[in-house]
Amino acid sequence: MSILSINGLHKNFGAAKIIQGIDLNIEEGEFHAVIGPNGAGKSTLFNLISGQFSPSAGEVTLHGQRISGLRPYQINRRGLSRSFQVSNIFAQMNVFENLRCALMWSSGVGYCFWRRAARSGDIDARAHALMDEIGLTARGTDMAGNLSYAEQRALEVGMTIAGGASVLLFDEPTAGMNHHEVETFATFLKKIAEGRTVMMVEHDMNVVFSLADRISVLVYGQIIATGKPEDIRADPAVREAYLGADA
Amino acid sequence: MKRTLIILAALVALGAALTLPYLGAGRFVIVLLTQLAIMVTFAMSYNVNLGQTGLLSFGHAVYLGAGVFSSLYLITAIGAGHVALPLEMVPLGGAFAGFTLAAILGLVSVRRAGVIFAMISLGLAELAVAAAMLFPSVFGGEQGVSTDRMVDFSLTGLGYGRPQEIYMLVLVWAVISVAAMVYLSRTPLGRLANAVRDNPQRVEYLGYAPYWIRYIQFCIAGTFAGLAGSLFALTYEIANASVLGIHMSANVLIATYLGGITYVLGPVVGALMVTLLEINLSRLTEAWLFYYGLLFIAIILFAPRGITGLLVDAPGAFRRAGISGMVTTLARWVPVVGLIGGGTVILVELCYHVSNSFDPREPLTLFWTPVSAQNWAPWITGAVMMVAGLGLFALNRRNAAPRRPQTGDAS
Ligand SMILES: Nc1ncnc2c1ncn2[C@@H]1O[C@H](COP(=O)(O)OP(=O)(O)OP(=O)(O)O)[C@@H](O)[C@H]1O
Ligand SMILES: [Mg+2]
Repeated sequence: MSILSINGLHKNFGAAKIIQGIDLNIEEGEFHAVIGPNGAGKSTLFNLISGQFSPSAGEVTLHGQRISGLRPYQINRRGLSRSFQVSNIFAQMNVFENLRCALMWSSGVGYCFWRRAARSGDIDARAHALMDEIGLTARGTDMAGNLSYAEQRALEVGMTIAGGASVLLFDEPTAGMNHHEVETFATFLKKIAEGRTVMMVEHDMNVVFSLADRISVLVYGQIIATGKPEDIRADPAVREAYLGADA
Repeated sequence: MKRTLIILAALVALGAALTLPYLGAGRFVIVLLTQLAIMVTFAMSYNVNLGQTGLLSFGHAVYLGAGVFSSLYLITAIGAGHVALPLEMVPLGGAFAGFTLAAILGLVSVRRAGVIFAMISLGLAELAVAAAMLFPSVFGGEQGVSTDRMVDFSLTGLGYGRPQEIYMLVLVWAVISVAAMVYLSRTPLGRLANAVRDNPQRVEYLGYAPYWIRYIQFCIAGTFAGLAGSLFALTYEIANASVLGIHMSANVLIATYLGGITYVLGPVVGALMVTLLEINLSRLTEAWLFYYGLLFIAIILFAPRGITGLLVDAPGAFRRAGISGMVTTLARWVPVVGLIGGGTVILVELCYHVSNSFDPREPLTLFWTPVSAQNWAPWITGAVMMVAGLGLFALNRRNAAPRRPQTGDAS
């Protein structure tokens, strides 16, 4: 059974039909890339899966249970976490606090106001370990809003994986990075994808073709092709609609 | 190091506050300190909403009022023997009243932050004032509700008739409250509140409901506001509906902002400053509210992190600038502040004298010199100082931030 399945998904904003009938099954452990031109509806698709919007029609199931219509925090608690295309962090808090907030729920810390955060389980140790993993240890006490762009992207991904979710959605994780940073980051993404299910929107074709097990091509709110990287590369419809320019 | 210093300073201040009455401090000082302790508690509770959670409330005094009126009635009931509660525990009643009201009104308040929350808080404050007008039997109308705190039922055996005794009680509760709120800011909830303040959307993607975080924080703020209200009731033994009005809410907003909302202990600094200003300035000049407003505007414009921000940044800035840098900076800015400040005071005092004094032809004392408002000289002096100060200010600004020279390459 697919871990994440999208059935007949539609989303309209007023008269604008942005997502027009998407069916997609993501298998456990798969690294699935979603590509498509600007404005195709890729971020909207992620917003529908993660609970930001509820669909106009159709549904999304996670582990076989319907998650459409749930709030984002409820979906997150069921093991789905996402990153944002534009870094979405706590600008007035330091890096360590950002990460600690991101992993608290999964450590069994609720809305607790009777114990100091530093004394709540092992969240401090976990936050330090994660900070190390994303290479931000030296920036631990700096305000997140003061980080460089690439560092904010790293923090964004760090916060997404902090809770140990089994399904991860990354929305253009390498957007705005330079060539060298993209390479390092791709290696990092490959590492964190191990043992997890990942869905990723990405514009950098090198990253897509080196990481993805399967690729879906989204154009005007519809998936025009899904398949292995080599099949997608060879697909004439895809070449015409999307890869056309650089093929 | 820094932390030990802060703790040490706090302990010294506390020790001084506790021993003051025995060192023969006068009645005036004791009354002032009591007022300070109440204001500090109230401002700290306000910042649980504003600084910690990002909820800008225009109606926080409503919860203070809940504490005040419930405590006035509670004290009377204890005095009459209807309730078996020692006087020292009355603040628990006020806290409970504040909590209950916040728990009810919070349901409709905290769904959204930002402008919507602010507007709802204003609406609720207006409603509370209207309700207080409608029920003079409960709120006592103009003359208010009064009580007598000498109830002959206390844990310590003190009668609490004298200001020194009630001061001790208020101080103990204020210290407990401040410590509790500092502690709260370090709990997971406190950290999450900061996160919700910065970015509620992201919090929702980390498994927490921003609504609950705001709601719990709002209830905590209401609880401590109610407790502060109790301390008010114990101290003054009388209150009318003006304690829960917009004016009181605005006051605590200003005090908290002046202190610095981004610091946990900022409201303490703010409350101390505002209370001292209010008392000292109002004895010096009739126009004190005007200066108070100007100060508020100046802080918002030039030091958005408040007085605490200035105090925290000062040592680092001095160290970086070195002696010579410090001298240059002072040489640059002291004349500006002096000229604008002096000019403002002269003009404002002259205006007040002309329009408000009993006999405008009488000379008034300005900076220890008698001057006549009928003369042109003082008006011109004030205006010239003002213009010169503003000119210098513009000049300094220009020199401090020279326009970046355009470089050749794009992007
Ligand atoms: N909340 C919204 N209300 C109205 N229209 C929206 C909303 N969100 C997205 N859209 C529209 O939906 C379309 C698809 O947007 P989306 O952000 O999903 O594209 P995308 O594929 O992620 O593009 P990009 O590669 O630029 O990130 C756009 O035309 C956008 O204007
Ligand atoms: Mg997008």
